[in-house]
Amino acid sequence: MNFKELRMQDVGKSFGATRALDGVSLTVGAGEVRALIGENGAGKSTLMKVLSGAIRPDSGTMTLDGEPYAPRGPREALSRGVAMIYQELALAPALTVEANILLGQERSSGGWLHLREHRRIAAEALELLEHPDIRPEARVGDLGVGAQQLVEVARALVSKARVIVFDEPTSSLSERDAHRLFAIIDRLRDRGMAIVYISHFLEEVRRVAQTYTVLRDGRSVGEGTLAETDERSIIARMIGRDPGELFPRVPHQPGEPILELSGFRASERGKPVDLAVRRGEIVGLAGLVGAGRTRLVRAIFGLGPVVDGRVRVAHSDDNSARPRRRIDEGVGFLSEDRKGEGLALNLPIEDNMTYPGLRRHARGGWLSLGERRREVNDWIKRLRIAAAGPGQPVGGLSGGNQQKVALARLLHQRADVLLLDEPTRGIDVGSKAQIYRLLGELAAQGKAILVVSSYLPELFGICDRIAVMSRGALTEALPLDHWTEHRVMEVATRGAGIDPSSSTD
Amino acid sequence: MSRPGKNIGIVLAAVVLVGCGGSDEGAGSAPGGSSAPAGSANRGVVLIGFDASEALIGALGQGRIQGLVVQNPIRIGETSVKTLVKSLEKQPVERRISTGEALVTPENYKQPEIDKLIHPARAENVSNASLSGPKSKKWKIIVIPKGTTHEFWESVHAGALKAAEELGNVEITWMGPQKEDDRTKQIELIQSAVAAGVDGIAVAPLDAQALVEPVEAAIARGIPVLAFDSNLDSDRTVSYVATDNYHGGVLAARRLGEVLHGKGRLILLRYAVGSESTEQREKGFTDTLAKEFPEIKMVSDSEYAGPTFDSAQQKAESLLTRYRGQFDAVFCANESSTFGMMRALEGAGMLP
Amino acid sequence: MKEEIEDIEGIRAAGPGRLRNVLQWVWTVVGPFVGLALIAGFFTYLTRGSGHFLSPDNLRTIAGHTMIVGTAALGMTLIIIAGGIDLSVGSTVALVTVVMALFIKKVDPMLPESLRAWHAAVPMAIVVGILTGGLCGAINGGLIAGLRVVPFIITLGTYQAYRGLATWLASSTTIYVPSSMRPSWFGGLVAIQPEPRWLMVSPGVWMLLLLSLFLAVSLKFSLLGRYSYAIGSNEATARLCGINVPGMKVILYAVGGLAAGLAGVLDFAKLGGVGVPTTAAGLELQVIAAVVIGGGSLSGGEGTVLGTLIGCLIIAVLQNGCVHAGIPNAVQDIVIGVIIVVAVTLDRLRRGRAA
Repeated sequence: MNFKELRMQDVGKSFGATRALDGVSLTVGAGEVRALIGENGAGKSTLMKVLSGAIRPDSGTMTLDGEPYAPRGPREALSRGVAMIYQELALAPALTVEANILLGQERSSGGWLHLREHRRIAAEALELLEHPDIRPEARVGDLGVGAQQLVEVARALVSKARVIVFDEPTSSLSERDAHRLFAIIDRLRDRGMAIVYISHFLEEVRRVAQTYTVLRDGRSVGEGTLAETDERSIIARMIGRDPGELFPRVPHQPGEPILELSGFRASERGKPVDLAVRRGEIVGLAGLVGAGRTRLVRAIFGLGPVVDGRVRVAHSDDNSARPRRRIDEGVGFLSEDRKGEGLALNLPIEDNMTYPGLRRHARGGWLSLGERRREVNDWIKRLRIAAAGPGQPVGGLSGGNQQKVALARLLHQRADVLLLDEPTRGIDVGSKAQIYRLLGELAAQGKAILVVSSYLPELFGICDRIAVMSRGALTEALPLDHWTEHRVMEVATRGAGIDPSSSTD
Repeated sequence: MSRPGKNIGIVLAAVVLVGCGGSDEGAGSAPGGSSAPAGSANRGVVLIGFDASEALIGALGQGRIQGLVVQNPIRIGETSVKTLVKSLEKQPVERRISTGEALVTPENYKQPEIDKLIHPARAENVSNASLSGPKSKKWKIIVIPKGTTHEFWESVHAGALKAAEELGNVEITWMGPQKEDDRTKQIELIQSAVAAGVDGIAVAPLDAQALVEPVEAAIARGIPVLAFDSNLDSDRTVSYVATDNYHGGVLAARRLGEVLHGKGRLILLRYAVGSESTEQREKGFTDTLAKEFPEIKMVSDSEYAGPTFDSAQQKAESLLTRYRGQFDAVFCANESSTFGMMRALEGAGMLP
Repeated sequence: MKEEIEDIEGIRAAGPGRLRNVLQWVWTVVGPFVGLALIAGFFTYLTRGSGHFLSPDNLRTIAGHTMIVGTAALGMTLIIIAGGIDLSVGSTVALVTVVMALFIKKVDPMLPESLRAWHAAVPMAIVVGILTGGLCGAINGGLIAGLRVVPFIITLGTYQAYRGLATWLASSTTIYVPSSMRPSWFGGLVAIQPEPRWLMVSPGVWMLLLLSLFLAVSLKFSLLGRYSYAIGSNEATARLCGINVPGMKVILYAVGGLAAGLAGVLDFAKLGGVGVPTTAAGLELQVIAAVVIGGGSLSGGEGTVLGTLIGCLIIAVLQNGCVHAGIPNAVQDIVIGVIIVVAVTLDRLRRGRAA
């Protein structure tokens, strides 16, 4: 293996009038892990598709060791030694580990498979990863996500890949699996492979990569070695402005508690949670994916089971209320899954915005559509939602505008307590800033806001207090000056057994 | 189907028939007794059916079916059209016209007059006259059968076309519901034909009562309606042209009594509810059995074959499983149920 | 990347999208009519010799033939909009005819002479018939919501069960109501030539039109209507927005059942007061076809009353036109099959371009 480098030079790609990639240059050499950092929508996925041959660039060149590289499809990319590990794993769950590893690269003669050779190749690959404990004959569907990802990596190894691209590989991994993966990436690097590691988690990027390239609006806007760059300047490059501008502070004053949890458990394995959110404040829930934050807020809203404990909203005490009851009590919920659950994509803005509060416009079951439209138009204006009109289906809106519709729904239903699960996931920076400002304004109006987010800078930018969840246990919600990003990650990964206030650095 | 093959079948049939008779004598005491079921594989179940189709006649030739009561579909079609035109031309017509029925057995089916009955001409995929096209003939009539999938109706169609050719002054449109129990569809056909301005309607009503309203509505608008094959509860139709179905049932019962020597256990697979013609056959059959062959016992007479071969075969299969070894003979009152029953018996190995 | 493309779409829609929206709206409204007009034009051409096809008489006949399918299709529209399906419609209709026939035969002799003279058992039977349909629908909805099994399976089960129940109640035969128990007006409900001539079309057709208007208004202006669209578009969203999804399902299927019950009443009248356990076999597929031809989406969230009515008319025109042109059954079925596929494909293309 005398592979030296993959080089992309001024690669551009347009979809209609959109410049998805606008002159991206990137080089990754053998024995190097290069992080590709950027916000959602910065062009990371497009770049990845160009690399894998799923789409062809309009301009620019790509070379592998100086030879032109222009794959016409993932198959050709693989045969040239470029493999992708996608965020959503591309495995056949009903097949065995072995069959998956050799999927698409079966050894056969005359249509008959050489199963013995398959077994040998698969075992070799798994051993290379130092994971001979994954049995080749196990069904992939029975494995955990982490192990499944290793199967993908093994598949790349079998194809004699020289470049492996990881697309946000830890997004669905547990902390332990993530660390296992990092160790494997280290090993692959040491074997002389070139790794492109796509992520926007700066902490994990520091752990696994040596060099970085920042992508914003389809352009590469900065690169260097991670050891020589501080976090703040990377964030500034990612969002294209000073972090202070992104997180505008609207002054607000906490009032009396309106949402109180005591001894609250949303799952059998969860530990009792105590939390109080006051009017006029924003409380952040930090933690890793899978720590139980989403389950917690869903249970509060009545979308999931409440195992035991108490929920008190305003002055009513009702543990196992359904969403309808919560809505009537003034609780609003924003789902993390905007497209799957949050919005009915083929219905118009006005329907999506008004469902929880629809009864307000009804007399004896019949609606006053004019009255409703006036209110919807008002919200569209106030939230600056870019749309053709209240009758436009939300599916045609941008992610940011969709999210504003979902938020406007909570305002239309006149919620006093807002439970927001990943409110800025997958939306552009401009919309993010607007939503952050809106949340500040809402707090200033006396609403209580509980935000679940996996993006720490965001929580630090907008919250008054932060509580960290780890494996179903929640720390006390403490004011920002008790926390650092590092401290939050520590609690999130090691468990909340530690009292966060004891070490305030 | 090739002729030589058939001849071999006939020879075989003769042999089998002799054998049948022999074992019949021997097993004379068996029917009625629970041991030694007569319906076991070595002798086979006696099947008496109604109507002729290629497949049924073939089976008859091989001695797998002991008797078929056949109608004269050609004459039904022909007479219906001629009678309807007669009435259109203001000539007197009879209120009830019987077109005759005959019993076909493995012994008599080669006789020329029977052969004519069992191999009637058929009209397959004949293009229709457009109901509202320019009128090239004096009279335009629609002929509505009960269904369009049975061979029987194709022969009726052929008879109707024959009449039209002979008369020369009448155009025929042939149109029926696909399923033989789709009353609603038949009602709509009549209504559409009325709106299309036909001069006369010949219909084989699927239901003696349900079709009365639309038929009388047509008559009220001056369009004469003739019923064929099956009657209608109305005295305003021009005429009723059909087999004497009750008598057909009588013929079938007598044949069964003859083959079973007056003793045995029987399954009657009925056709469908509300179908006047088959109900008449079934009634003629059961009446005669009760009167003339009291020692033939009914094992089951409450099941209905339904409108298609498939439904009949399915029903027959479950009946055969249910009563396996407990019956000696089966009677079915029309083509589709006879065929379905025959297939089921074959599948169960119960036919010789 | 997807996000970026959507961003652009969002901006574009905000700009010159207004004209496009208008055009799209026009096409949505006019589109189905185009299909109907094409088919009607085709048959008019085929039967140009006589001119009977477009005669008032024949139009009346076609209208009359949409009655049963149309009434059942109104309920199906609601159910399909809410993302469901009801395969038991035909069986429900058959059950209703049997229940009505049995009811009249049983109740009529028990009534006092004064009420018998008025045939009071028949209006009572109509109410009983409609309620029977509603009950069948409520059972469908209850099972779907309670067992959390997909509607296709549940109604496939009740499709068999209701038909079986009808056959059992009728002891496998047809139930004839003696003519002495049938009032003269009963057949008039569905007669092609309405009794007061100024009605123009059968009273049943007027009823269908009134109900359609009511349903169309309800879909737009009532909580029930908006909630149906919400459930059909995204059930998770509906739950999130505090809509009682299981309760709504029971209501929706019950309403669908009431419509099927009414269709059963019409069929009973059309059959001249005969309870037939085998009637309306395959009706459910015609009804579903009508809704789908009219733009309903089997994945839910889409469908209009106008579209459904046009779907019914297209089917009725086809069947009637084939009789006029002397086209045999087999060809009719092929043509209807082709039209379903073409209509739905065109509809998808139309939406694809619009979205």
